[in-house]
Amino acid sequence: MAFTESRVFRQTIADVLGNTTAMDLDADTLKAALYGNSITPDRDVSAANSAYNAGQWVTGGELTSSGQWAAGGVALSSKTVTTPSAGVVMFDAADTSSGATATLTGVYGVLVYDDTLTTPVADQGVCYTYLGGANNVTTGTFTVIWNANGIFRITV
Amino acid sequence: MVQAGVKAKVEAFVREDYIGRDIVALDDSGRPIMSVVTTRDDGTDCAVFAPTATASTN
Repeated sequence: MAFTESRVFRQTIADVLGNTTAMDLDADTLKAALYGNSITPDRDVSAANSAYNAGQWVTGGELTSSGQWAAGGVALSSKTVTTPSAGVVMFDAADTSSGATATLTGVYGVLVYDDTLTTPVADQGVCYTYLGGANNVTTGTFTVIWNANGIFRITV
Repeated sequence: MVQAGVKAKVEAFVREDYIGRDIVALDDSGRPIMSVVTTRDDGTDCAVFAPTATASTN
């Protein structure tokens, strides 16, 4: 049981392409929630089990710091969907930071989910990111610096 | 960034696991960098370099 990789949820792609969900990545409120390493993310789960506070993403595994990185996560800003190069679709946003006095221990991964969606699946997951190990902050700022290649990218 | 006059230690930490298919940030030596931690007398800051999640047709 652990994070091992960073992936887009398969069902999210299918639901967007099939118009099952009205997910709008650059207009909806998307949030980044932090998790420890007691969960086992799976890109192939159902839409319901990709959602925040469902499946592997229940709040029991979530890491929060009161008033700094709240339960439910921090909202992404400056979200964009672009086609930066041949064969690539990319979703990106500005780096995401806590308040200045956060205390978090053992942050291994991030769930990005759509907080605007209420139906057919509320808070459906978009993707998850494995941070590569345990990350900690004590009475300081925790910042997720999204990769220059985006939060996620699809190669066609 | 550390404010002038503040005693601090700045350390870079290498990723602790395989890269696999993840697209990660690399340092000047080509090592996968996980985070930069700034330790002050009254706390720490952590900037973590999130890999890119991927979906591919191959």
